[in-house]
Amino acid sequence: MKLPKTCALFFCFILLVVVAECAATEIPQLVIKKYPSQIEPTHPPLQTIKADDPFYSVAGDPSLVTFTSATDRKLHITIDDRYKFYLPPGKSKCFAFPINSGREDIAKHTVRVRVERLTQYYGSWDTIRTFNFYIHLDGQPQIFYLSDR
Amino acid sequence: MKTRTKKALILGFLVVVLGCAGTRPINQAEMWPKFNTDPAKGVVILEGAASCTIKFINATTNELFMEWSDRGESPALTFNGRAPTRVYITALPKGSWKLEIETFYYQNYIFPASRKLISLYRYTAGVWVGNDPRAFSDRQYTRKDWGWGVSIYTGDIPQYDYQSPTVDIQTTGIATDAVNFVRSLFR
Repeated sequence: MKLPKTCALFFCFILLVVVAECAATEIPQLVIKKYPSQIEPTHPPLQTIKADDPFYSVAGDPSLVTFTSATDRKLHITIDDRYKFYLPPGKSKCFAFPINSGREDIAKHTVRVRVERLTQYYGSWDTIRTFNFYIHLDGQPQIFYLSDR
Repeated sequence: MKTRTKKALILGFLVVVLGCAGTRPINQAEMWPKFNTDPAKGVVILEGAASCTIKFINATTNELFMEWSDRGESPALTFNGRAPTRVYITALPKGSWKLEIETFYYQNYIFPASRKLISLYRYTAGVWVGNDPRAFSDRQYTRKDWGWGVSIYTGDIPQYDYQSPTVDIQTTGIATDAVNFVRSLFR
């Protein structure tokens, strides 16, 4: 049986295609390129906002965080190990935090609350509590009621 | 009773017993399954034979974070008319992400002997990586819940552009395991 020339050429081509497919198996199935971020995280200064300021709309601002004291004791608050203040009993303080710009290290904030409990026989006893909160673009204003326990 | 009949009965009994025991937890560790707890972990499902490149772009800062290039699958062997599906489990930082997907393949010519790049589709997808570790439910391939996920159809290569003979296996059930084994040889 003798094959015509075109048929032989066709089979050669198929063979070439199969060989090319097999030869290309050295290429990995998935190639990943990673690019380092060019945007450095910024830490703008923390601003204190008066809640009753008529020129500042607080409705729905996700950057606003309010700390309210729900105790009769004095609260020593530290935010991100940089901003330190104390909260008198029954008072509240409002802050405007920088909004998350896509980097997690900007959005996450750590609060450290220290409460001094004065006792008659044992001196002062400190209760230290730490918690985190996040600022999201699609979030809401947050209020934290801080108790002494 | 013949030996063949005995063997068949024992095999059937084993299949029934294992089938009953296999779907339920068999120890204390399996009573409390380890579901996904990492919200950053997600799944990318690529369906279709064509190759594709995926750009992961931060939607907030609009900067390129990662670029993928998937080689695609050969259309020579398909299963129920479909090329093998690629499932990748990967992690992304929190935030909103824009995925720019471009699918393509190469067509072979005999005269003159050359290869031509043919682009199929170009579209985008959105991914939100939040705090929920089980926000995306994949019931088809991984059958698990993930923090995020996206299913992408890269497109099929027309028969005219792939001149080699193709094999399409049409089965269901445990034959899928055999087909996957054959596919692993072809890869």
